Amino acid sequence: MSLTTTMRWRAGPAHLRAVLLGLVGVSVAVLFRIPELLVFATPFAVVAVWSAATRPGMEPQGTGRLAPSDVREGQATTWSMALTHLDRVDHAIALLPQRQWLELVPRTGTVLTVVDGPEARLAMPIRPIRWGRHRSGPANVVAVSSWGAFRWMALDTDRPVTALPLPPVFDAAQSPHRGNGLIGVNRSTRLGDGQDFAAIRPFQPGDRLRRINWRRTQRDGELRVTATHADEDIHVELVVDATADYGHSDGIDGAASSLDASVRAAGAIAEHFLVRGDRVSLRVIGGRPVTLRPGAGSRHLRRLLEVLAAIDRDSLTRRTNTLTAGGLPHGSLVMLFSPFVAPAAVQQALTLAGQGLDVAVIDTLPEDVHLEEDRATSLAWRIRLLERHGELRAVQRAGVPVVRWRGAGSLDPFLRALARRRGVPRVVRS
Amino acid sequence: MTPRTLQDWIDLLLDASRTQWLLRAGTVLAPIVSVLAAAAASPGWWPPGTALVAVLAIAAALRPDTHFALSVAIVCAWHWAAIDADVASGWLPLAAVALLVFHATVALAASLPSGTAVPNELVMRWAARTGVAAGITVGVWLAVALLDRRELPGNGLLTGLALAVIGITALAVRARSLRALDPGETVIRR
Repeated sequence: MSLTTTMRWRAGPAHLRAVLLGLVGVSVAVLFRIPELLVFATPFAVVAVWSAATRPGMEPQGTGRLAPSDVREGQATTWSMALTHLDRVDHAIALLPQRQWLELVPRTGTVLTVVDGPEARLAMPIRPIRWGRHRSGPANVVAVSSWGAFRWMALDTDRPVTALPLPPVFDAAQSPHRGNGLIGVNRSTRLGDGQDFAAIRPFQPGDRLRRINWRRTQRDGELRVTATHADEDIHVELVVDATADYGHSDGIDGAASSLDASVRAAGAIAEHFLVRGDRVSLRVIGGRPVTLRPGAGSRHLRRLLEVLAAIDRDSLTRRTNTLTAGGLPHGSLVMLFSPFVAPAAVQQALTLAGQGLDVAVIDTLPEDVHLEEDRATSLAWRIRLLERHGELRAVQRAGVPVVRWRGAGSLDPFLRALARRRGVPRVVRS
Repeated sequence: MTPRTLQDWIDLLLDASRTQWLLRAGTVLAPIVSVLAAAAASPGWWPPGTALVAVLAIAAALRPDTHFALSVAIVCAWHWAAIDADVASGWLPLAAVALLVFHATVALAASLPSGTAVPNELVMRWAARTGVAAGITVGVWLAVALLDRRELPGNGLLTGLALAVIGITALAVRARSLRALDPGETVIRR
């Protein structure tokens, strides 16, 4: 049973009206011999007696659930309540409170069922339209007896619904970059045992016989082997800047704020790499700092999306921890998602790049952010945007690619640039 | 009325479903039909009373969970008694049934949030109940009209018996309405 508070069956104003008009009216009509009043009072007396005779004798019991409790934003889940012990109940109603990022069907948040037996079920689809953890309840459940005379009320447990960010489809055509391992699905810079063709070269001692290219050997008259690139996995560190949220959010179907873009982009990239078999870790800076250790596979993707969904939009703070390369293997790919309005984020990117990591800066500031509170604020914002432009140019000059997130294919130029830089010596500041 | 209250009322009207509009229209029209039936059964009609009933009925339609509806029914019954119309008039059962319909529509409206669409199944169930109560009302009116035509003298024993039956019924209704839960019944509090 999931009902937190219940009120016993109680008579409502309708029953009081029927009793007063019916029984008092009939009494007065008989005492004072007013036949018209008897006719007027009769229907109310009938209703009063009928209502009392069919008063429910048991307290209903209810079991509520929200299934599934985790959905992608924009997908629907269903709140339901199974009511039992419904004795002479006419109808039952549930009322869910209106929440900012939850769409209820129907829009009024009420659902009614006509009771025709000892059991009934109330169900209402709920559609979260923005990522995050949302409160769906508590739902008010009301059962009504015949003639609306008696009511029973209960409050269901509040059931949170987690809306995982729905990443836009992201697909990088470019092979990511150099990694360290010799397993995985990505093409290594080194030659080795893999799938991708590299070259045909003369046979050397140690080459496997199955690598011999017999057709070319027959033509050249000496043993030739097919060389391939080694397969490898990579480690991608996603850093989401949750120090502030700029722009307006209309949920999954409308405009996206900077934090929306950051979270959805991080989710998309994580899904892309994890599906390929790579390792992905996550750090959230600002608000409540969260670090998710590297992992791979669909379960890790689920965990990562849950961490992203747990970012509390209402408690964003500018307090940030300085990022370091500590714990990250050499050659890791770091992707920093930020609107880069605060200079600290730019500095973080430069620091990481200076520590020898491949860093990509994904700019998630919406293009239509306008602060028009007053002239001075608007002017200050424009000045800040100009400064920000200069800071991002400086980041690019330092060799860190800056990519504006535009969904699918946004990162291909960056991945190509990284691939070109493979093997080029770089200065690493210790 | 504070601006917030006004906004609440506007929201209430905007959120109401089509079936709720029909239900509340019935709530307003039924007592007016009752007053007009009284006017038809008497030489003249009572415009201020009709207006008063209409205003109270609108208030009852907007706030069905209050006691506006009780005042509407009292005004209508008092009006009929005041005009001293013939009890055998066919307008009397019409006025009484109109008040019954008013009571039913207010009770149904009070049991539902304003935005909820009223399903046909529920409407049919309530209509059937109202029909049964209306049939009993017409039966009582026929009996009253028949006895009134015979002009029988008063009978103290019968009156006392009737009052005793009414008293016992009232006690039974009170006991059923306010009774505590049976020992086997439980209230869930977690």
